[in-house]
Amino acid sequence: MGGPARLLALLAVAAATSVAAASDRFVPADPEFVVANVRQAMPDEELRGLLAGWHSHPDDESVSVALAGAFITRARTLREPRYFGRAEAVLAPLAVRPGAGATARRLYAQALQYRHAFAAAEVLLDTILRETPRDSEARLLRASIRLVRGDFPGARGDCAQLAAGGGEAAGIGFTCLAEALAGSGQLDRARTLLDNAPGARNSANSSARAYLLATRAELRERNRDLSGAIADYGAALTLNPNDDSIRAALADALAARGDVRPALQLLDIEKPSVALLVRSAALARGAGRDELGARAAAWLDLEAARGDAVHYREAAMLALVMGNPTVALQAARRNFEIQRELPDVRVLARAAAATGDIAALKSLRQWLDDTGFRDSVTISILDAAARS
Amino acid sequence: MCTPAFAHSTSTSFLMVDLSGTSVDAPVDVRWDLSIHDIVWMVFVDANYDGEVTWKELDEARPALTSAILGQISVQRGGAPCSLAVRDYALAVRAEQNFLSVALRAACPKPGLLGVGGALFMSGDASQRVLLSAKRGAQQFAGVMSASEPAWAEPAQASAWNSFVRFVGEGVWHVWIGYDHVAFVLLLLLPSVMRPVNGKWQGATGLGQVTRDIVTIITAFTIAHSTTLALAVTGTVKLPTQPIEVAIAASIAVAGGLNLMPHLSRLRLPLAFGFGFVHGFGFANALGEIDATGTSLLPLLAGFNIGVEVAQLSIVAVVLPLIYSMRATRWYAGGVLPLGSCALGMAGFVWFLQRI
Repeated sequence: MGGPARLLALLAVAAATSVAAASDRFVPADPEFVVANVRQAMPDEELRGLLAGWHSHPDDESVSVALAGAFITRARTLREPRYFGRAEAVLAPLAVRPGAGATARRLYAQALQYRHAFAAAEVLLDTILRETPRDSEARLLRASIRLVRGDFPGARGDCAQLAAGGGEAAGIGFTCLAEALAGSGQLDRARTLLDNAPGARNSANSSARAYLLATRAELRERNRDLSGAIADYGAALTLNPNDDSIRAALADALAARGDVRPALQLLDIEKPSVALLVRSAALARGAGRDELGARAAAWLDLEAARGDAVHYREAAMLALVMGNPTVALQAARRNFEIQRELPDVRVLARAAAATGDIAALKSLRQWLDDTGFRDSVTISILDAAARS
Repeated sequence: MCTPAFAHSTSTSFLMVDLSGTSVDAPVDVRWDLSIHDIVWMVFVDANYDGEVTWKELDEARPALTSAILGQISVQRGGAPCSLAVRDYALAVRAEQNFLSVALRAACPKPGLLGVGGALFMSGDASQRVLLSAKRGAQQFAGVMSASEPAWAEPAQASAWNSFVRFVGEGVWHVWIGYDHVAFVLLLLLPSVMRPVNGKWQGATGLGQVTRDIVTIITAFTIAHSTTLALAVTGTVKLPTQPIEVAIAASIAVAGGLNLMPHLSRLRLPLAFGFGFVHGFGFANALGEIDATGTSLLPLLAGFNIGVEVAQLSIVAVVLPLIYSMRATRWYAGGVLPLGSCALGMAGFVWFLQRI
């Protein structure tokens, strides 16, 4: 970091003003000039009703929970994160109150999870599960957080309980168990489990089926079966087209197979997330790469100025794309402290290899040995770095 | 123009405060750029319910907008509330979106430091952040406000003398704890009490000669590092940290090696001068880690630089009498000088390997 600039607080000012650099102020000549499309931002009829109820009874937990739940649903279906912030604002005073209900705390944990406050979310879920061990929603949420954080033994326990619990959650529990086993290096057992898992494959819940397919796709990808992975990711995305992580994983697999044009087409959607934008920049050429890279950088700089910690993974990827491996390694390390999914492992390996940082390479290999996590791409990167 | 928006964009507004008014009772201009997506939760602006907000709709909603905005922000000066008024509305593009840019003017009854607070549209959205930038003459400040920290206070102006004294201390401290700079200065000092004779080191004959030598070398080093420190601090030249740290380590390894070759002693002066430029960037990076909010550039730069010199001279003052008294001994020419240079040079080489 340019120390002298920080010295004069100029970097911080730049963060506050330049990252989302304001154009000059202007007044449109045409009164019909469309300033913004607010269809997704405006509260719909159901929300207006819930909001009115909440304003009348702000201390009524059931009213607040209904409103927060509606916010979170919209955050997911509309890909509009402001709703997570609104849910958190409604739930924050409730969830920490003695005697707060499990639903309020679970929803609050979801809002915390969204902004990657995983430790705080897990603590909250621990308390719910101590009181109500059969709360399958809380258990599934804790399992997913543990998987993201690379706590595979912890996730395995939760997933096994879900699988044994029967019902709709059991199918998801088997998929989750397979993911936890795969994290610990038991790829074959995980694959067998997925192929024979009862429930999820024929579930009426398309998200559960998408989850199974995406998990199997990742196992195939880690075993270098790119075509199988692409087929599974594609099917998962058809079931769950709003899931940017599946879209990003499919684009990565396509690009790894050399199908750059289809990957770029896949990433070219309205309102792309930063994860998709960074991948587009990586695959684009010439001025297109610069333009996409600049857009992604502006986005990440704005998040950094806000103090968000959600997109270190993308920051590392972008720095690699832009030829700045030192910055990439710094971001990849910070990201790895928060989340340890396949893309996190790979970007750390790539950044460590690009910088030739022996300590980072050793530490990642040690983590692989300790957990048993196996990924052929990561191993290749580390082996190549060791030879050079 | 309805620009493609960032998906997943969280709620952010931008507040710019101009504190450059020349008199203490001058009004304060404030610009607040607000996302339309946040405004629609506070004020009904989409009059025809078509999901698109036009400039005309915003224009017609001005009374409601003004009332809502003035209810969300408060400005105080010297502890007394200021009277706020909206001067005009316009648009500005931020993060690929059109923001409503509101120009406000605060009339304050008392002089003093400014404070900004209020609900700032944050009460209904935990992810809302207000990024504030303020300008006071040549100084700039920044702040991030959130629901948990919904206020910003203007930092007090540090006096030039206090800033100067503080940064003299910072400069001294940086050199004393900066093992690589100490190593380099020691490597410049060790041969300063010797002269090359027939390819070997021999003790210098008089203190005057030694003093001239060391003053010349240290002055060259100082001129060079002061130049790059000033260039870096003023932002004239920007270099990444890592190559500078590598080059500093290399300078120590080279200086160590050179001390083992008396016949190349004439290179000590150009070496001190050349590597001085590199060390200046290193000082600038260290300086950058210090919080200098509210400090003017001149006392800061002058103070830090003088602090660095004081620290270097303190090392000279301690080491020089010691090595001067030992210069004629066999074990200085054959032991302290070569072994010391070798050890410090090796340390530089190890740091070089660690830093690349």
